[in-house]
Amino acid sequence: MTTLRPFTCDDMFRFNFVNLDPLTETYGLTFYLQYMAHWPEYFQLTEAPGGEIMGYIMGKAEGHATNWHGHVTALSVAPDYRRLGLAAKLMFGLEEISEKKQAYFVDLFVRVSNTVAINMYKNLGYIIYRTVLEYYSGSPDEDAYDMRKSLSRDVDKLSVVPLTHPVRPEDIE
Amino acid sequence: MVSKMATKMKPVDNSVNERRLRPIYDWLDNGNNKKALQEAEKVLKKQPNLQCARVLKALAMVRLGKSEEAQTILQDVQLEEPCEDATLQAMAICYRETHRPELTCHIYEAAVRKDPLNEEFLSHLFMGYVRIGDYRKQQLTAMALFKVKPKNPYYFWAVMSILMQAYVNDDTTVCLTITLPLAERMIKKFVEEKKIEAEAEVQLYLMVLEKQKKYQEALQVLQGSLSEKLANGMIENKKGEYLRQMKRWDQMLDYTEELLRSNPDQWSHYSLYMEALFELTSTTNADVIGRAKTFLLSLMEQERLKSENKLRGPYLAMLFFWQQLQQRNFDASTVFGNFREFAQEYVEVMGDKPCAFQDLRPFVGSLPPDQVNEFLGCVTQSVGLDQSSPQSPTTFLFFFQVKQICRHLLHIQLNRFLGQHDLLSKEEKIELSQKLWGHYLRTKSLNAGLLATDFRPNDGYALLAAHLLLDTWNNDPVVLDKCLLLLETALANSPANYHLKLLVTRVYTLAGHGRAAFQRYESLDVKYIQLDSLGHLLCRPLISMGLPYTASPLLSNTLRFYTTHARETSECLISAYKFGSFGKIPEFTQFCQRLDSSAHFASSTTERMLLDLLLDGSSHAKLVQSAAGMFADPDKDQPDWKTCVDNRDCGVFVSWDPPAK
Repeated sequence: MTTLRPFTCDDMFRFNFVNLDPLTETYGLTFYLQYMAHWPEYFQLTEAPGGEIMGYIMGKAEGHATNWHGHVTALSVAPDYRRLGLAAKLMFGLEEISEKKQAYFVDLFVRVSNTVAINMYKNLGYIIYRTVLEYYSGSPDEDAYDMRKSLSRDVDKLSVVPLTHPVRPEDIE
Repeated sequence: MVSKMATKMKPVDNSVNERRLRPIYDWLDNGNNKKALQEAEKVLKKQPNLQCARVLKALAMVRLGKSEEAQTILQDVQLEEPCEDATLQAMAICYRETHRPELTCHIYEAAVRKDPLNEEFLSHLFMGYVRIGDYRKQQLTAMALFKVKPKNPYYFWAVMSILMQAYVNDDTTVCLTITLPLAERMIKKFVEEKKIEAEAEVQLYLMVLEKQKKYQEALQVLQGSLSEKLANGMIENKKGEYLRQMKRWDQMLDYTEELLRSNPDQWSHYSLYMEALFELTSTTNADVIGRAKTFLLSLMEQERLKSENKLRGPYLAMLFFWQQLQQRNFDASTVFGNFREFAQEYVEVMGDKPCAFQDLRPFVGSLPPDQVNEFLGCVTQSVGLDQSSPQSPTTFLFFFQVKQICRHLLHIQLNRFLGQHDLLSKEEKIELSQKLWGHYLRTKSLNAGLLATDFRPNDGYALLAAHLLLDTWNNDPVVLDKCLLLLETALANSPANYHLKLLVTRVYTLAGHGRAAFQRYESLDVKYIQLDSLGHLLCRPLISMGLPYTASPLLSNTLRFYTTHARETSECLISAYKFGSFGKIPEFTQFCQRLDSSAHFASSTTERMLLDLLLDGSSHAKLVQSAAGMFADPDKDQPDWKTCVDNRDCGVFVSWDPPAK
């Protein structure tokens, strides 16, 4: 049982089930508020019958011409609410909005080591479009996969023809 | 970046000026304020009256901590009423950094007086008013902008500014007869002239109608051509809400039924459905209960037929419906069926998910007391273990699947929630705790292959064992030591589990182990908004545990968050206007107020002052000086405790205690 609804400011006071997980970063207020101000429809959460926040997705629409696309900035589900298909539900919502905005594709970045997430995205129809070298800083830096799924506007599926060579972070549009 | 402004200089600034100012911008951007100051002085030697150079000098001084001298320069420039973009923007930055946003409005007001048709100045003036929340002046400026450049966003900025006046005005008569009708007329004019362009404009129309409780008109908007601009999810939610407000229960029932058919997992739809249903039972003779029963059972039947990916919604809806019937004085068992059987069915289907207990928590308290044992017996059976020899705990459980652990944990959690642990003596609780710890140790082999960042499926045993021990605490330090031992062991095996970290922090605090509590709290990486929602866990306890020097930076960090948020929020308010996210504007404003009124903010401020007195009191003179610096008037300068709000996130502490506790 899930309520899918837009993320609001007050939710930040109670998103700790999701954000205390070490793989989920808590950002400064501006980060969340700017997403809410700019792309409120792309910031959605799922709530349990008892009101607990189970997970949320943050995204945006960006790019020009055939690069106009939806982007997943953050997707996180609280550990106790995994294996319920919530991430898929949130992703589906974001794809639907991107369809409505007539985007050509949806993309996201994921650590190459995060096999659980990579497999989940593959099951949702995403392909590894390219590798971005040393995208995540740390010691050592880690590469990212730029994963994509084309939307109906990209009739010829040109957005999901994988690149053969990796790119540097500064080369990403 | 300050330098962005340099490129915006108007052609009136000759290239010589631009070339001379460029290095100052560069030094400021690089954070070398000393060099920036020197460079500015160099330019001013050649051109002592160059406004922009004077302001940049002031900015460098502000950043070097020489705010007072900077103010003198800024005041002089302000009197000259500058009318040049780069100068004005640099002044605005100075005012922002010295927390004087109202002065930004003054300089742009002067600039607009000189150049009333300048779109840029008007736009900055509008944003200036947004920063200080002057809605009336926002409205006038937005209209002036619209006259200069008839763009839709400017027009709707004016409408939004009017709506905000209604939000803050307590005089409902004025709002309903003057303010809101004006906003509505303005939008209607655009609708009639077919000038509506964006989704944001339709949303604002709905907000204006909602504020006047004109739900019928709002519903018509949703059903008309303007709705094409709205997202489907928004239409769904709004329509349900409007029908609810208009008490059109029959339509609301039909509508939510339709929504549930296409999305039988959306909890908010069930809530509206139940409300409509029970409102109807008191006003109609039709058998709506019978209809609901058939409908809800049909949703569950669909799930029953699925072999995988079953939805939780329809199963929980059975429990919800039963609970609602009972609460509204229907004989739920006769009308609908056996609560225990519905609960069991949920447990059978979903009991192997870690969320099962949280799902059942709102409903399972409705279980009739005489059925508790039978229900718990069935939950045990669903674990699928051999229980032929329950007296021998070592052979009693042998787990071979993670799913069994989940089911078994659910069984224990429900036992606790349904009051079974309260029936145990102290010795029995300790014995049960030990037994659970035994399960924990025996199931460790099932954790193989998990990542360090994954929760361990058997962590729940350690948590429950700790809770049982804490039941027997009664100020006995040995109990806390035992509890800490098992929590620390579990944490070593499951370093990502924040439930363990939160509990261990609390137990260390109970035991008075300040440093250890602090260490575990730090591992939670609490920051930004979490300082407000979770900071209570440690801030004050640290001081009472005799660690003022550890508490001090924590408090400073917390207070820094509270003092910077207003500026951050006001910048985001500006973005909300720019991107037309009008719904977020009242929300951001309320959010800002909620942070300002936080009880933790008030208590941290007070603790900080007490701590300063404690830590700085090396001599009498110093103490007097510190105290004098804190208050103008100790009686008046108190936080307003009555208006404080509690922003703590208490829900993050998992517990399986009966609701009465």
